[in-house]
Amino acid sequence: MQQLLSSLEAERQRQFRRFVGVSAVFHVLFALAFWIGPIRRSGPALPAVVRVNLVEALDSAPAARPAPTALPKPPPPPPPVAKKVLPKQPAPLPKPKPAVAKPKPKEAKPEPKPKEPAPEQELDDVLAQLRKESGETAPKPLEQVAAPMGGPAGGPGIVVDAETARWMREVKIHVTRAWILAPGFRTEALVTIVEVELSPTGDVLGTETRQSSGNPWYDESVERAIQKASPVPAPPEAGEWQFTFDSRDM
Amino acid sequence: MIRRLLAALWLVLCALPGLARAGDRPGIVINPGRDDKTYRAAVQRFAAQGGKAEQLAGAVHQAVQQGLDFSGLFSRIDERAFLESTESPFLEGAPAPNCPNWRQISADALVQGEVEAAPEGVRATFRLYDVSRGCLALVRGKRFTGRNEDARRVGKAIADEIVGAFTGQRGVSDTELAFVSSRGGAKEIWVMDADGASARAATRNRSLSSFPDWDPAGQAVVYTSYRHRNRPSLFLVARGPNSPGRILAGLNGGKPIYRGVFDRSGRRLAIVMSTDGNTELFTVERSGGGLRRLTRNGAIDVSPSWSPDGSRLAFVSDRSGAPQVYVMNADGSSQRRLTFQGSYNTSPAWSPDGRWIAYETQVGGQFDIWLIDPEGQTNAPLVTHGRTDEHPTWSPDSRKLAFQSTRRGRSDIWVMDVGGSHEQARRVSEGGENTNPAWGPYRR
Repeated sequence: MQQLLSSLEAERQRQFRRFVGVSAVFHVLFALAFWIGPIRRSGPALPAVVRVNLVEALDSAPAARPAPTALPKPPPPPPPVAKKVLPKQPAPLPKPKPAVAKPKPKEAKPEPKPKEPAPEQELDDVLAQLRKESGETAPKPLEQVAAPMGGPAGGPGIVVDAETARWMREVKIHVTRAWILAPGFRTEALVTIVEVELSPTGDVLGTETRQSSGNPWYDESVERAIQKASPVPAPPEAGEWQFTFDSRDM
Repeated sequence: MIRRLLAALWLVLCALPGLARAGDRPGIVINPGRDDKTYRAAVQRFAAQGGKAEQLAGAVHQAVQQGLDFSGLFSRIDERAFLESTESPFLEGAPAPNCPNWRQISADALVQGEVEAAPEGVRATFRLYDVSRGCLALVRGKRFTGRNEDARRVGKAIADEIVGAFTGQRGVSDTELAFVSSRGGAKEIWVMDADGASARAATRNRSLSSFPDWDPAGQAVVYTSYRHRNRPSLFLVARGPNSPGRILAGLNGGKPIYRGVFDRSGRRLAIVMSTDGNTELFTVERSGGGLRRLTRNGAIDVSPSWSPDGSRLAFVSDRSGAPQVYVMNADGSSQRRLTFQGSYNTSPAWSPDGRWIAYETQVGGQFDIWLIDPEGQTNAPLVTHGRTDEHPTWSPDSRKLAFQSTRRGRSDIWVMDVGGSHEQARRVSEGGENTNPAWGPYRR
């Protein structure tokens, strides 16, 4: 009997230990489930992050347009513009390397070339709309202009935006019209460099001769031309601008 | 505290664009362009009191305008466009000009003046404002006097002063041209104002006269005439009643002298004299002493022209087989050929500023005028026309050239701006054949 009781007791303890063990396993499993669950659930949020990244990338680097090459796939659902962009977001990020590494034949084979311009245009439209929404203006195309001869701003060339280049052309015509040079000066090589302070509306606020030609009457003709030309076309930026007056016809 | 610091930082950042300096920006290069542009001058009628003074003022005013026209640098504004009075105020105590009104009509220069009828003649005072530079007074009051009959000269002298105030070099409307004209029948020496006004005969030799050249004081003209025994000799005609007549008579045994040219001092002449069966170049003092032979060869050497400092001479020689321009030192040393382009180059004229030698060159059946620098580095056409242009002569400011041209059929004297972008020559002589111009110096 004693033996039976002791064996029952042992059986009960074994069951209790199994219960505790099973219970512990379940607790651990539950704990794991709660712990890992949130991490898995964060996966679907990626597109949102990507969307943000995409908008930034397009705005800050409009010239980097490999995106269309990565997006040659049919763009069937046209209606909502935003939706059309979003599905394509993941594509550019993981696939740039394969796209670049792909040999040309692959690009040549599909021959859906007429479709390529379309996504570009659409992207532009999207960009335009995004810019419109954010109140931004389109980035200015860049233009290279010649630096003045011998001027301190010298160097082989200075890159200016199209608006500045256009203004420079206009102001050159404007000041040239106002500059009257005695015929005698034309047979000499005279150069005067003047810094002209311009108001936002193009009024000449002041002048300072940076380099005299050595002929005071020539320098005066330059000063006269600048004063007579005032106001010049409104500059892209107020402040000091350098004018080089060269007696030689270029 | 932090807020204040941030506000200050914000203000600095906002001000940065305004501090942009020209050196950070591209420069703008301005060239004069090819258009002939002129300063626009508003010349008010000179103030005067009394009938005689008003009459003189009218003559002075008109001459100022004509002198400015002749400069090629100014064009006058029709007084009907004036927003201010057409009459100049008397200068003493006159108010400052209403600059915006002058600027409104695009005036660059404003001229005011007054004329008095003084016992010695006309007395004119003028004032010049630079309208573009806020009516800055370039000339506050300069006075010229002259005989009443010289009222026009007074006006031209004022115009020349105005040109000088804008260019640093006096204008030349109050200078003269000597030339040969057949308008009286025989070829005589004539003198006229540089703009062609007041032409008058300087000689009445009734014989062939040619090659006039001024003495540097502008008081006499030396020329060649066949008046004496029908042989070429040098003569001098001076202002006033007494002219010296024939000069350098009996030089070198009375050999024919074909031409004489004064150097800048007026004490020495370069002459072309027949020697050893052809013409050679010599220098000689005005008195006839110090004869020095410069050329010695079997070729023809003619047409001497002094460099302004008197150290060198340009001349023409056919020693290479055809007439070409040469240069040598005034003692005859270092003779070298200057022109190599063209097969017939002659009539060199050294500019008063020393920078250029103008000469005529044959192109086809006619002549054009070219410029070459004394070192022969630059050689360029100046006057090109379908008709003949020849015998160039420089104005004393080196900015104009007079020459003879057949562009209107007969030969006439024409004047043009050197360095002008177009061939804007104007004819300044009338009647008969007019040739061999020689531009006189500034009048004293």
